[in-house]
Amino acid sequence: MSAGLLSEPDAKSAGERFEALYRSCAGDVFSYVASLLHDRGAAEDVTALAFERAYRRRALFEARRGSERAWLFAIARNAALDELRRRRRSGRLIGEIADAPQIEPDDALAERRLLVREGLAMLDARDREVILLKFVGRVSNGELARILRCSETAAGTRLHRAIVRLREACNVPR
Amino acid sequence: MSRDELTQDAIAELAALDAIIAGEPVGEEHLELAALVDSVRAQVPPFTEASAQRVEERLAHRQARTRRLPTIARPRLALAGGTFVALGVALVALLASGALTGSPNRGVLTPSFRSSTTSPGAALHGSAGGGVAALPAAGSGATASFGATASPGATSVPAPSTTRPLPNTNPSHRLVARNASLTLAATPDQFQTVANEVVSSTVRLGGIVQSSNVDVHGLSSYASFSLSVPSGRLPALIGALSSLAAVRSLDQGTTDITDTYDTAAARVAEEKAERTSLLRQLAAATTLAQQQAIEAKIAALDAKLAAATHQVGELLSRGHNARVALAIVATRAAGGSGGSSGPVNRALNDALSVLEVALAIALVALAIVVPVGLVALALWWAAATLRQRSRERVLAASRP
Repeated sequence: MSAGLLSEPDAKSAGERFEALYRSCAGDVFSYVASLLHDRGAAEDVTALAFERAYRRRALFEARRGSERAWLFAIARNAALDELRRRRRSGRLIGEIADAPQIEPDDALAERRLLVREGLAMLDARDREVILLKFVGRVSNGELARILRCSETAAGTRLHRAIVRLREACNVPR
Repeated sequence: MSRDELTQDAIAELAALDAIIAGEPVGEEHLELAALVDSVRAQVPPFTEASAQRVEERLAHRQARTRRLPTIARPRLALAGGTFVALGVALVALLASGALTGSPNRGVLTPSFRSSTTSPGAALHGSAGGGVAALPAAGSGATASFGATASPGATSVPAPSTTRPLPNTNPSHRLVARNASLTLAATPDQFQTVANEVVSSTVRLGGIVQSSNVDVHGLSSYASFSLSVPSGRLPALIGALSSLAAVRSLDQGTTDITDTYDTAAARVAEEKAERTSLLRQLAAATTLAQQQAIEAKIAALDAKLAAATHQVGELLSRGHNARVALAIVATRAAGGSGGSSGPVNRALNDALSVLEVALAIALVALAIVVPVGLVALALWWAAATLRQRSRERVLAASRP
Protein backbone atom coordinates (compact mmCIF):
# COMPACT_ATOMS: atom_id res chain seq x y z
CA MET A 1 0.00 0.00 0.00
CA SER A 2 2.57 2.54 1.02
CA ALA A 3 6.07 3.20 -0.07
CA GLY A 4 8.44 6.00 0.73
CA LEU A 5 10.44 7.62 3.43
CA LEU A 6 7.86 7.09 6.11
CA SER A 7 7.00 3.50 5.39
CA GLU A 8 10.24 1.96 6.56
CA PRO A 9 9.61 -1.34 8.28
CA ASP A 10 12.64 -0.85 10.47
CA ALA A 11 11.81 1.52 13.30
CA LYS A 12 15.33 2.98 13.36
CA SER A 13 15.29 3.67 9.63
CA ALA A 14 11.79 5.13 9.86
CA GLY A 15 12.98 7.41 12.64
CA GLU A 16 15.98 8.56 10.63
CA ARG A 17 13.87 9.15 7.53
CA PHE A 18 11.31 11.02 9.53
CA GLU A 19 14.00 13.23 10.95
CA ALA A 20 15.24 13.93 7.42
CA LEU A 21 11.71 14.88 6.41
CA TYR A 22 11.48 17.15 9.42
CA ARG A 23 14.77 18.87 8.56
CA SER A 24 13.70 19.48 4.97
CA CYS A 25 10.11 20.62 5.59
CA ALA A 26 9.76 21.98 9.13
CA GLY A 27 10.66 25.55 8.19
CA ASP A 28 8.25 25.74 5.27
CA VAL A 29 5.47 24.03 7.24
CA PHE A 30 5.92 26.50 10.08
CA SER A 31 5.93 29.48 7.69
CA TYR A 32 2.80 28.26 5.93
CA VAL A 33 0.97 27.55 9.20
CA ALA A 34 2.09 30.84 10.72
CA SER A 35 0.78 32.68 7.64
CA LEU A 36 -2.62 31.07 8.21
CA LEU A 37 -2.74 31.52 11.98
CA HIS A 38 -0.82 34.79 12.47
CA ASP A 39 0.32 33.45 15.80
CA ARG A 40 3.84 32.19 16.26
CA GLY A 41 3.11 30.16 19.38
CA ALA A 42 0.08 28.51 17.83
CA ALA A 43 2.05 27.91 14.63
CA GLU A 44 4.77 26.15 16.62
CA ASP A 45 2.14 23.97 18.29
CA VAL A 46 0.41 23.15 15.02
CA THR A 47 3.73 22.40 13.30
CA ALA A 48 4.64 19.95 16.05
CA LEU A 49 1.16 18.46 15.91
CA ALA A 50 1.39 18.04 12.13
CA PHE A 51 4.66 16.15 12.37
CA GLU A 52 3.36 14.01 15.18
CA ARG A 53 0.25 13.12 13.16
CA ALA A 54 2.37 12.39 10.13
CA TYR A 55 4.52 10.02 12.14
CA ARG A 56 1.55 8.28 13.71
CA ARG A 57 -0.20 7.91 10.38
CA ARG A 58 2.87 7.08 8.35
CA ALA A 59 1.39 3.67 7.49
CA LEU A 60 -1.41 5.46 5.62
CA PHE A 61 0.97 7.35 3.38
CA GLU A 62 0.70 6.35 -0.26
CA ALA A 63 3.61 7.37 -2.45
CA ARG A 64 1.58 7.08 -5.65
CA ARG A 65 -0.74 9.84 -4.45
CA GLY A 66 1.96 12.43 -4.00
CA SER A 67 5.15 13.30 -2.18
CA GLU A 68 5.62 13.14 1.56
CA ARG A 69 6.04 16.89 1.55
CA ALA A 70 2.60 17.39 0.01
CA TRP A 71 1.11 14.85 2.41
CA LEU A 72 2.69 16.70 5.31
CA PHE A 73 1.31 20.04 4.09
CA ALA A 74 -2.17 18.53 3.81
CA ILE A 75 -1.93 17.38 7.44
CA ALA A 76 -0.57 20.76 8.51
CA ARG A 77 -3.33 22.58 6.64
CA ASN A 78 -6.06 20.55 8.37
CA ALA A 79 -4.40 21.04 11.74
CA ALA A 80 -4.11 24.79 11.15
CA LEU A 81 -7.73 25.10 10.04
CA ASP A 82 -8.83 23.08 13.08
CA GLU A 83 -6.88 25.51 15.23
CA LEU A 84 -8.67 28.41 13.51
CA ARG A 85 -12.03 26.75 14.16
CA ARG A 86 -11.13 26.27 17.80
CA ARG A 87 -10.12 29.90 18.12
CA ARG A 88 -13.29 31.00 16.41
CA ARG A 89 -15.41 28.98 18.81
CA SER A 90 -13.56 30.26 21.84
CA GLY A 91 -13.54 33.82 20.49
CA ARG A 92 -9.80 34.21 20.88
CA LEU A 93 -8.15 37.00 18.99
CA ILE A 94 -5.63 36.13 16.38
CA GLY A 95 -2.23 37.36 17.36
CA GLU A 96 0.30 39.12 15.22
CA ILE A 97 3.57 37.79 14.10
CA ALA A 98 5.93 39.77 16.28
CA ASP A 99 9.00 39.15 14.22
CA ALA A 100 7.57 39.58 10.74
CA PRO A 101 10.25 40.45 8.19
CA GLN A 102 11.23 44.08 8.50
CA ILE A 103 11.02 46.16 5.34
CA GLU A 104 13.47 48.95 4.63
CA PRO A 105 11.52 51.63 2.71
CA ASP A 106 14.52 52.88 0.77
CA ASP A 107 15.29 49.55 -0.76
CA ALA A 108 13.63 48.88 -4.17
CA LEU A 109 13.39 45.22 -3.41
CA ALA A 110 11.97 45.99 -0.04
CA GLU A 111 9.43 48.30 -1.60
CA ARG A 112 8.35 45.55 -3.91
CA ARG A 113 8.02 43.16 -0.99
CA LEU A 114 5.94 45.70 0.83
CA LEU A 115 3.65 45.92 -2.17
CA VAL A 116 3.37 42.14 -2.26
CA ARG A 117 2.59 42.07 1.44
CA GLU A 118 -0.21 44.55 0.94
CA GLY A 119 -1.36 42.67 -2.13
CA LEU A 120 -1.47 39.39 -0.20
CA ALA A 121 -3.45 41.09 2.55
CA MET A 122 -6.02 42.24 0.02
CA LEU A 123 -6.48 38.79 -1.45
CA ASP A 124 -9.30 36.46 -0.66
CA ALA A 125 -8.21 33.93 1.99
CA ARG A 126 -8.58 31.03 -0.43
CA ASP A 127 -6.44 32.73 -3.08
CA ARG A 128 -3.84 33.55 -0.47
CA GLU A 129 -3.78 29.97 0.73
CA VAL A 130 -3.32 28.57 -2.78
CA ILE A 131 -0.39 30.90 -3.33
CA LEU A 132 1.17 29.98 0.00
CA LEU A 133 0.79 26.27 -0.65
CA LYS A 134 2.39 26.60 -4.04
CA PHE A 135 5.10 29.16 -3.32
CA VAL A 136 6.01 28.07 0.20
CA GLY A 137 4.86 24.46 0.19
CA ARG A 138 6.40 23.89 -3.24
CA VAL A 139 3.86 21.20 -4.12
CA SER A 140 2.99 20.15 -7.65
CA ASN A 141 -0.37 21.03 -9.14
CA GLY A 142 -1.51 17.42 -8.71
CA GLU A 143 -0.56 17.51 -5.04
CA LEU A 144 -2.20 20.91 -4.68
CA ALA A 145 -5.38 19.39 -6.11
CA ARG A 146 -5.34 16.61 -3.54
CA ILE A 147 -4.76 19.04 -0.69
CA LEU A 148 -7.61 21.28 -1.88
CA ARG A 149 -9.76 18.26 -2.77
CA CYS A 150 -10.42 19.28 -6.35
CA SER A 151 -9.29 18.23 -9.80
CA GLU A 152 -5.80 19.06 -11.02
CA THR A 153 -7.24 21.33 -13.70
CA ALA A 154 -9.34 23.16 -11.14
CA ALA A 155 -6.31 23.51 -8.88
CA GLY A 156 -4.26 24.95 -11.77
CA THR A 157 -7.03 27.36 -12.62
CA ARG A 158 -7.39 28.47 -9.02
CA LEU A 159 -3.67 28.96 -8.74
CA HIS A 160 -3.39 30.96 -11.93
CA ARG A 161 -6.33 33.18 -11.03
CA ALA A 162 -4.85 33.76 -7.59
CA ILE A 163 -1.55 34.84 -9.18
CA VAL A 164 -3.40 37.18 -11.55
CA ARG A 165 -5.30 38.72 -8.61
CA LEU A 166 -2.11 39.09 -6.62
CA ARG A 167 -0.52 40.94 -9.52
CA GLU A 168 -3.56 43.17 -9.75
CA ALA A 169 -3.47 43.80 -6.01
CA CYS A 170 0.21 44.70 -6.25
CA ASN A 171 -0.28 46.78 -9.41
CA VAL A 172 2.29 44.66 -11.14
CA PRO A 173 1.88 44.68 -14.93
CA ARG A 174 1.96 41.34 -16.65
CA MET B 1 -14.12 27.41 -22.72
CA SER B 2 -15.12 26.02 -19.35
CA ARG B 3 -14.25 27.90 -16.18
CA ASP B 4 -11.58 25.34 -15.31
CA GLU B 5 -9.83 25.42 -18.65
CA LEU B 6 -6.56 27.30 -18.91
CA THR B 7 -5.19 29.33 -21.81
CA GLN B 8 -1.89 28.38 -23.38
CA ASP B 9 -0.27 31.39 -21.70
CA ALA B 10 -1.58 30.33 -18.34
CA ILE B 11 -0.33 26.79 -18.86
CA ALA B 12 3.08 28.13 -19.84
CA GLU B 13 3.15 30.36 -16.81
CA LEU B 14 2.26 27.51 -14.46
CA ALA B 15 5.01 25.41 -16.03
CA ALA B 16 7.42 28.27 -15.49
CA LEU B 17 6.21 28.53 -11.90
CA ASP B 18 7.05 24.87 -11.33
CA ALA B 19 10.51 25.50 -12.75
CA ILE B 20 11.01 28.54 -10.49
CA ILE B 21 9.93 26.58 -7.44
CA ALA B 22 12.27 23.75 -8.40
CA GLY B 23 15.11 26.28 -8.69
CA GLU B 24 15.52 25.83 -12.43
CA PRO B 25 16.30 28.71 -14.79
CA VAL B 26 13.39 30.31 -16.66
CA GLY B 27 13.06 32.62 -19.64
CA GLU B 28 13.15 36.39 -19.39
CA GLU B 29 9.40 36.62 -19.75
CA HIS B 30 8.98 34.80 -16.45
CA LEU B 31 11.47 36.78 -14.39
CA GLU B 32 8.67 38.88 -12.99
CA LEU B 33 6.96 35.71 -11.78
CA ALA B 34 10.22 34.59 -10.18
CA ALA B 35 10.43 37.95 -8.38
CA LEU B 36 6.82 37.55 -7.24
CA VAL B 37 7.56 34.11 -5.81
CA ASP B 38 10.61 35.50 -4.04
CA SER B 39 8.59 38.39 -2.63
CA VAL B 40 5.83 36.11 -1.35
CA ARG B 41 8.34 33.81 0.28
CA ALA B 42 9.88 36.83 1.95
CA GLN B 43 6.50 37.62 3.55
CA VAL B 44 6.09 34.38 5.42
CA PRO B 45 7.21 34.29 9.02
CA PRO B 46 10.72 32.85 9.27
CA PHE B 47 11.41 29.65 11.14
CA THR B 48 13.78 31.06 13.71
CA GLU B 49 16.12 29.04 15.86
CA ALA B 50 13.93 29.74 18.85
CA SER B 51 10.83 28.54 17.02
CA ALA B 52 12.65 25.45 15.80
CA GLN B 53 13.72 24.64 19.33
CA ARG B 54 10.20 25.07 20.67
CA VAL B 55 8.72 22.95 17.87
CA GLU B 56 11.23 20.19 18.55
CA GLU B 57 10.51 20.34 22.28
CA ARG B 58 6.79 20.11 21.65
CA LEU B 59 7.29 17.34 19.14
CA ALA B 60 9.44 15.41 21.59
CA HIS B 61 6.78 15.90 24.25
CA ARG B 62 4.03 14.75 21.88
CA GLN B 63 6.06 11.76 20.73
CA ALA B 64 6.67 10.76 24.31
CA ARG B 65 2.92 10.73 24.81
CA THR B 66 2.36 8.97 21.51
CA ARG B 67 4.74 6.16 22.44
CA ARG B 68 2.48 5.31 25.35
CA LEU B 69 -0.50 5.01 23.04
CA PRO B 70 0.42 1.69 21.49
CA THR B 71 0.80 0.02 24.85
CA ILE B 72 -2.38 1.44 26.39
CA ALA B 73 -4.98 2.59 23.97
CA ARG B 74 -4.33 0.65 20.81
CA PRO B 75 -4.18 -2.89 22.20
CA ARG B 76 -7.37 -2.21 24.11
CA LEU B 77 -9.03 -1.07 20.95
CA ALA B 78 -7.68 -4.07 19.10
CA LEU B 79 -8.84 -6.36 21.88
CA ALA B 80 -12.28 -4.80 21.85
CA GLY B 81 -12.42 -5.05 18.09
CA GLY B 82 -11.31 -8.67 18.19
CA THR B 83 -13.94 -9.44 20.79
CA PHE B 84 -16.64 -7.86 18.67
CA VAL B 85 -15.48 -9.79 15.64
CA ALA B 86 -15.38 -13.05 17.61
CA LEU B 87 -18.86 -12.39 18.99
CA GLY B 88 -20.11 -11.59 15.53
CA VAL B 89 -18.67 -14.75 14.06
CA ALA B 90 -20.10 -16.83 16.92
CA LEU B 91 -23.52 -15.25 16.42
CA VAL B 92 -23.38 -15.88 12.71
CA ALA B 93 -22.34 -19.49 13.27
CA LEU B 94 -25.22 -19.94 15.70
CA LEU B 95 -27.66 -18.41 13.24
CA ALA B 96 -26.31 -20.53 10.42
CA SER B 97 -26.57 -23.70 12.47
CA GLY B 98 -30.15 -22.89 13.40
CA ALA B 99 -29.52 -23.31 17.10
CA LEU B 100 -31.21 -19.99 17.87
CA THR B 101 -34.18 -20.65 15.64
CA GLY B 102 -34.92 -24.04 17.08
CA SER B 103 -34.56 -25.96 13.86
CA PRO B 104 -31.78 -28.45 14.21
CA ASN B 105 -31.87 -29.64 10.63
CA ARG B 106 -32.17 -26.38 8.77
CA GLY B 107 -28.97 -26.80 6.85
CA VAL B 108 -29.85 -27.38 3.24
CA LEU B 109 -26.32 -28.24 2.34
CA THR B 110 -26.02 -31.25 4.58
CA PRO B 111 -27.94 -34.45 4.11
CA SER B 112 -30.57 -35.23 6.68
CA PHE B 113 -30.36 -38.33 8.78
CA ARG B 114 -33.32 -39.30 10.86
CA SER B 115 -34.14 -42.29 12.92
CA SER B 116 -37.40 -43.15 14.55
CA THR B 117 -38.71 -45.92 16.71
CA THR B 118 -42.44 -46.43 16.76
CA SER B 119 -42.59 -49.19 19.28
CA PRO B 120 -44.13 -48.03 22.52
CA GLY B 121 -41.91 -49.07 25.32
CA ALA B 122 -40.06 -51.58 23.25
CA ALA B 123 -36.37 -51.70 23.78
CA LEU B 124 -34.57 -51.25 20.51
CA HIS B 125 -32.07 -53.98 20.77
CA GLY B 126 -29.21 -54.89 18.53
CA SER B 127 -29.26 -51.53 16.84
CA ALA B 128 -25.64 -51.71 15.86
CA GLY B 129 -25.91 -55.05 14.20
CA GLY B 130 -29.54 -54.71 13.41
CA GLY B 131 -30.10 -58.35 14.12
CA VAL B 132 -33.53 -59.71 14.93
CA ALA B 133 -33.70 -62.75 17.05
CA ALA B 134 -36.07 -65.49 16.19
CA LEU B 135 -39.13 -65.85 18.33
CA PRO B 136 -39.19 -69.05 20.23
CA ALA B 137 -42.95 -69.17 19.99
CA ALA B 138 -42.87 -68.88 16.24
CA GLY B 139 -40.81 -71.97 15.85
CA SER B 140 -37.17 -71.94 15.15
CA GLY B 141 -37.50 -73.84 11.93
CA ALA B 142 -39.43 -71.04 10.27
CA THR B 143 -36.81 -68.33 10.54
CA ALA B 144 -34.38 -69.76 8.03
CA SER B 145 -36.89 -69.80 5.23
CA PHE B 146 -37.44 -66.00 5.28
CA GLY B 147 -33.95 -65.00 4.28
CA ALA B 148 -34.38 -64.45 0.57
CA THR B 149 -38.00 -64.62 -0.21
CA ALA B 150 -39.50 -62.37 -2.83
CA SER B 151 -42.99 -62.32 -1.52
CA PRO B 152 -44.38 -62.69 1.95
CA GLY B 153 -47.12 -64.86 0.55
CA ALA B 154 -44.60 -67.36 -0.69
CA THR B 155 -43.07 -67.96 2.67
CA SER B 156 -43.54 -71.15 4.52
CA VAL B 157 -45.69 -70.78 7.55
CA PRO B 158 -44.25 -71.82 10.86
CA ALA B 159 -46.06 -74.48 12.71
CA PRO B 160 -47.51 -72.87 15.76
CA SER B 161 -47.80 -74.80 18.88
CA THR B 162 -51.19 -75.80 20.04
CA THR B 163 -50.82 -73.93 23.27
CA ARG B 164 -51.11 -70.16 23.54
CA PRO B 165 -47.61 -68.64 23.44
CA LEU B 166 -46.45 -66.57 26.33
CA PRO B 167 -45.88 -62.84 25.66
CA ASN B 168 -42.29 -61.98 24.69
CA THR B 169 -40.93 -60.14 27.64
CA ASN B 170 -37.31 -60.90 26.94
CA PRO B 171 -35.97 -57.85 25.03
CA SER B 172 -33.59 -60.01 23.04
CA HIS B 173 -36.55 -61.92 21.65
CA ARG B 174 -38.61 -59.00 20.44
CA LEU B 175 -39.69 -58.88 16.83
CA VAL B 176 -38.82 -55.55 15.33
CA ALA B 177 -39.71 -54.37 11.83
CA ARG B 178 -37.11 -52.12 10.27
CA ASN B 179 -37.41 -49.81 7.35
CA ALA B 180 -35.33 -47.11 5.78
CA SER B 181 -35.79 -44.41 3.20
CA LEU B 182 -32.73 -43.22 1.35
CA THR B 183 -32.22 -40.58 -1.34
CA LEU B 184 -29.00 -40.46 -3.32
CA ALA B 185 -27.81 -37.79 -5.74
CA ALA B 186 -25.70 -38.84 -8.70
CA THR B 187 -24.40 -37.01 -11.72
CA PRO B 188 -26.05 -37.92 -15.04
CA ASP B 189 -22.96 -39.74 -16.27
CA GLN B 190 -22.83 -41.84 -13.11
CA PHE B 191 -26.54 -42.39 -12.88
CA GLN B 192 -26.83 -45.77 -14.65
CA THR B 193 -23.75 -47.12 -12.90
CA VAL B 194 -25.16 -46.18 -9.51
CA ALA B 195 -28.50 -47.78 -10.37
CA ASN B 196 -26.75 -50.99 -11.39
CA GLU B 197 -24.65 -50.95 -8.25
CA VAL B 198 -27.81 -50.66 -6.14
CA VAL B 199 -29.06 -53.99 -7.50
CA SER B 200 -25.74 -55.79 -7.18
CA SER B 201 -25.12 -54.46 -3.65
CA THR B 202 -28.58 -55.60 -2.55
CA VAL B 203 -28.17 -59.09 -4.03
CA ARG B 204 -24.66 -59.38 -2.61
CA LEU B 205 -26.05 -58.80 0.88
CA GLY B 206 -28.74 -61.46 0.43
CA GLY B 207 -31.52 -59.03 -0.29
CA ILE B 208 -33.90 -58.71 -3.18
CA VAL B 209 -35.15 -55.89 -5.35
CA GLN B 210 -38.90 -55.99 -4.95
CA SER B 211 -39.50 -53.29 -7.53
CA SER B 212 -37.45 -50.81 -9.45
CA ASN B 213 -37.95 -47.94 -11.84
CA VAL B 214 -34.97 -46.33 -13.55
CA ASP B 215 -35.43 -43.39 -15.89
CA VAL B 216 -32.19 -41.93 -17.32
CA HIS B 217 -32.67 -38.50 -18.92
CA GLY B 218 -29.74 -36.27 -18.10
CA LEU B 219 -30.43 -33.97 -15.21
CA SER B 220 -34.05 -35.11 -15.00
CA SER B 221 -32.97 -38.72 -14.41
CA TYR B 222 -34.79 -40.46 -11.61
CA ALA B 223 -34.78 -43.94 -10.16
CA SER B 224 -36.69 -45.60 -7.38
CA PHE B 225 -36.17 -48.98 -5.77
CA SER B 226 -38.03 -50.99 -3.24
CA LEU B 227 -35.50 -53.26 -1.58
CA SER B 228 -35.76 -56.00 0.99
CA VAL B 229 -32.78 -57.27 2.92
CA PRO B 230 -32.34 -59.42 6.01
CA SER B 231 -32.75 -57.08 8.95
CA GLY B 232 -29.31 -57.85 10.29
CA ARG B 233 -27.77 -56.64 7.06
CA LEU B 234 -29.68 -53.38 6.82
CA PRO B 235 -26.79 -51.25 8.16
CA ALA B 236 -24.43 -52.91 5.70
CA LEU B 237 -26.81 -52.25 2.84
CA ILE B 238 -27.23 -48.61 3.84
CA GLY B 239 -23.48 -48.28 4.07
CA ALA B 240 -23.03 -49.84 0.67
CA LEU B 241 -25.71 -47.66 -0.92
CA SER B 242 -24.36 -44.51 0.74
CA SER B 243 -20.97 -45.11 -0.79
CA LEU B 244 -22.43 -45.17 -4.29
CA ALA B 245 -23.43 -41.50 -4.44
CA ALA B 246 -23.99 -38.43 -2.32
CA VAL B 247 -26.61 -38.98 0.35
CA ARG B 248 -29.35 -36.39 0.20
CA SER B 249 -31.48 -37.84 2.95
CA LEU B 250 -31.66 -40.92 5.12
CA ASP B 251 -34.61 -41.86 7.32
CA GLN B 252 -34.63 -45.01 9.40
CA GLY B 253 -37.45 -46.37 11.45
CA THR B 254 -38.13 -49.35 13.66
CA THR B 255 -41.46 -50.75 14.82
CA ASP B 256 -41.84 -53.34 17.53
CA ILE B 257 -44.38 -55.87 16.22
CA THR B 258 -43.89 -58.48 18.92
CA ASP B 259 -47.30 -57.97 20.49
CA THR B 260 -49.07 -58.04 17.14
CA TYR B 261 -47.22 -61.22 16.27
CA ASP B 262 -48.05 -62.81 19.61
CA THR B 263 -51.73 -62.05 19.17
CA ALA B 264 -51.79 -63.45 15.64
CA ALA B 265 -49.83 -66.56 16.65
CA ALA B 266 -52.18 -67.14 19.58
CA ARG B 267 -55.15 -66.88 17.28
CA VAL B 268 -53.62 -69.47 14.94
CA ALA B 269 -53.00 -71.78 17.89
CA GLU B 270 -56.56 -71.38 19.14
CA GLU B 271 -58.02 -71.99 15.73
CA LYS B 272 -55.86 -75.06 15.25
CA ALA B 273 -56.95 -76.35 18.62
CA GLU B 274 -60.55 -75.69 17.66
CA ARG B 275 -60.01 -77.49 14.36
CA THR B 276 -58.58 -80.51 16.19
CA SER B 277 -61.57 -80.47 18.45
CA LEU B 278 -63.90 -80.27 15.46
CA LEU B 279 -62.10 -83.18 13.81
CA ARG B 280 -62.64 -85.22 16.98
CA GLN B 281 -66.33 -84.26 16.96
CA LEU B 282 -66.52 -85.24 13.29
CA ALA B 283 -65.09 -88.62 14.05
CA ALA B 284 -67.65 -89.08 16.78
CA ALA B 285 -70.60 -87.85 14.71
CA THR B 286 -73.28 -90.49 14.22
CA THR B 287 -75.63 -88.83 11.74
CA LEU B 288 -75.05 -87.37 8.33
CA ALA B 289 -76.52 -84.05 9.39
CA GLN B 290 -74.06 -83.82 12.30
CA GLN B 291 -71.18 -84.67 9.99
CA GLN B 292 -72.20 -82.02 7.44
CA ALA B 293 -72.61 -79.36 10.11
CA ILE B 294 -69.19 -80.10 11.56
CA GLU B 295 -67.55 -80.14 8.11
CA ALA B 296 -69.07 -76.72 7.38
CA LYS B 297 -67.61 -75.42 10.63
CA ILE B 298 -64.22 -76.91 9.76
CA ALA B 299 -64.31 -75.29 6.30
CA ALA B 300 -65.10 -71.90 7.80
CA LEU B 301 -62.42 -72.39 10.40
CA ASP B 302 -59.89 -73.38 7.72
CA ALA B 303 -60.49 -70.08 5.93
CA LYS B 304 -59.94 -68.13 9.14
CA LEU B 305 -56.90 -70.25 9.96
CA ALA B 306 -55.38 -69.60 6.56
CA ALA B 307 -55.84 -65.85 6.99
CA ALA B 308 -54.36 -65.91 10.49
CA THR B 309 -51.45 -68.04 9.34
CA HIS B 310 -50.81 -65.65 6.49
CA GLN B 311 -50.76 -62.73 8.92
CA VAL B 312 -48.26 -64.53 11.12
CA GLY B 313 -46.07 -65.15 8.10
CA GLU B 314 -46.38 -61.54 7.08
CA LEU B 315 -45.32 -60.34 10.50
CA LEU B 316 -42.37 -62.69 10.61
CA SER B 317 -41.32 -61.50 7.20
CA ARG B 318 -41.47 -57.90 8.37
CA GLY B 319 -39.43 -58.79 11.41
CA HIS B 320 -36.77 -60.65 9.53
CA ASN B 321 -36.54 -58.53 6.39
CA ALA B 322 -35.99 -54.82 6.41
CA ARG B 323 -37.54 -52.68 3.69
CA VAL B 324 -35.59 -49.97 2.01
CA ALA B 325 -37.20 -47.33 -0.20
CA LEU B 326 -34.42 -45.88 -2.31
CA ALA B 327 -34.60 -42.91 -4.66
CA ILE B 328 -31.81 -41.62 -6.87
CA VAL B 329 -31.96 -38.10 -8.26
CA ALA B 330 -29.67 -36.47 -10.76
CA THR B 331 -27.47 -33.58 -9.74
CA ARG B 332 -24.88 -31.36 -11.39
CA ALA B 333 -22.39 -31.60 -8.58
CA ALA B 334 -20.24 -34.64 -8.37
CA GLY B 335 -21.40 -36.75 -5.45
CA GLY B 336 -20.75 -40.15 -4.02
CA SER B 337 -17.96 -42.46 -4.88
CA GLY B 338 -19.65 -44.25 -7.71
CA GLY B 339 -17.27 -47.10 -7.56
CA SER B 340 -13.70 -47.87 -6.78
CA SER B 341 -12.48 -44.35 -5.80
CA GLY B 342 -14.87 -44.13 -2.86
CA PRO B 343 -12.71 -42.72 -0.04
CA VAL B 344 -11.18 -40.04 -2.24
CA ASN B 345 -14.50 -38.87 -3.60
CA ARG B 346 -16.05 -39.03 -0.17
CA ALA B 347 -13.23 -36.94 1.23
CA LEU B 348 -13.71 -34.48 -1.60
CA ASN B 349 -17.41 -34.36 -0.87
CA ASP B 350 -16.75 -33.78 2.79
CA ALA B 351 -14.32 -30.99 1.93
CA LEU B 352 -16.86 -29.51 -0.44
CA SER B 353 -19.54 -29.66 2.24
CA VAL B 354 -17.25 -27.94 4.72
CA LEU B 355 -16.50 -25.26 2.15
CA GLU B 356 -20.17 -24.84 1.40
CA VAL B 357 -20.98 -24.43 5.09
CA ALA B 358 -18.10 -21.98 5.47
CA LEU B 359 -19.36 -20.07 2.45
CA ALA B 360 -22.86 -20.00 3.89
CA ILE B 361 -21.52 -18.64 7.18
CA ALA B 362 -19.44 -16.10 5.31
CA LEU B 363 -22.49 -15.01 3.34
CA VAL B 364 -24.52 -14.56 6.51
CA ALA B 365 -21.62 -12.65 8.05
CA LEU B 366 -21.39 -10.47 4.97
CA ALA B 367 -25.11 -9.84 5.13
CA ILE B 368 -24.53 -8.37 8.58
CA VAL B 369 -21.14 -6.77 8.12
CA VAL B 370 -21.72 -5.12 4.75
CA PRO B 371 -24.79 -3.04 5.71
CA VAL B 372 -23.23 -2.06 9.03
CA GLY B 373 -20.00 -1.20 7.25
CA LEU B 374 -21.82 0.83 4.62
CA VAL B 375 -23.69 2.78 7.27
CA ALA B 376 -20.46 3.39 9.18
CA LEU B 377 -18.74 4.42 5.97
CA ALA B 378 -21.56 6.83 5.12
CA LEU B 379 -21.43 8.33 8.60
CA TRP B 380 -17.66 8.66 8.44
CA TRP B 381 -17.88 10.25 4.99
CA ALA B 382 -20.58 12.67 6.14
CA ALA B 383 -18.57 13.62 9.22
CA ALA B 384 -15.40 14.09 7.17
CA THR B 385 -17.23 16.21 4.60
CA LEU B 386 -18.83 18.38 7.27
CA ARG B 387 -15.50 18.82 9.01
CA GLN B 388 -13.79 19.76 5.78
CA ARG B 389 -16.53 22.26 4.88
CA SER B 390 -16.23 23.74 8.30
CA ARG B 391 -12.48 24.12 7.76
CA GLU B 392 -13.03 25.78 4.40
CA ARG B 393 -15.53 28.18 5.95
CA VAL B 394 -13.16 29.18 8.68
CA LEU B 395 -10.45 29.71 6.08
CA ALA B 396 -12.72 31.93 3.99
CA ALA B 397 -13.58 33.93 7.08
CA SER B 398 -10.01 34.35 8.25
CA ARG B 399 -8.36 37.72 7.82
CA PRO B 400 -4.88 38.22 6.45
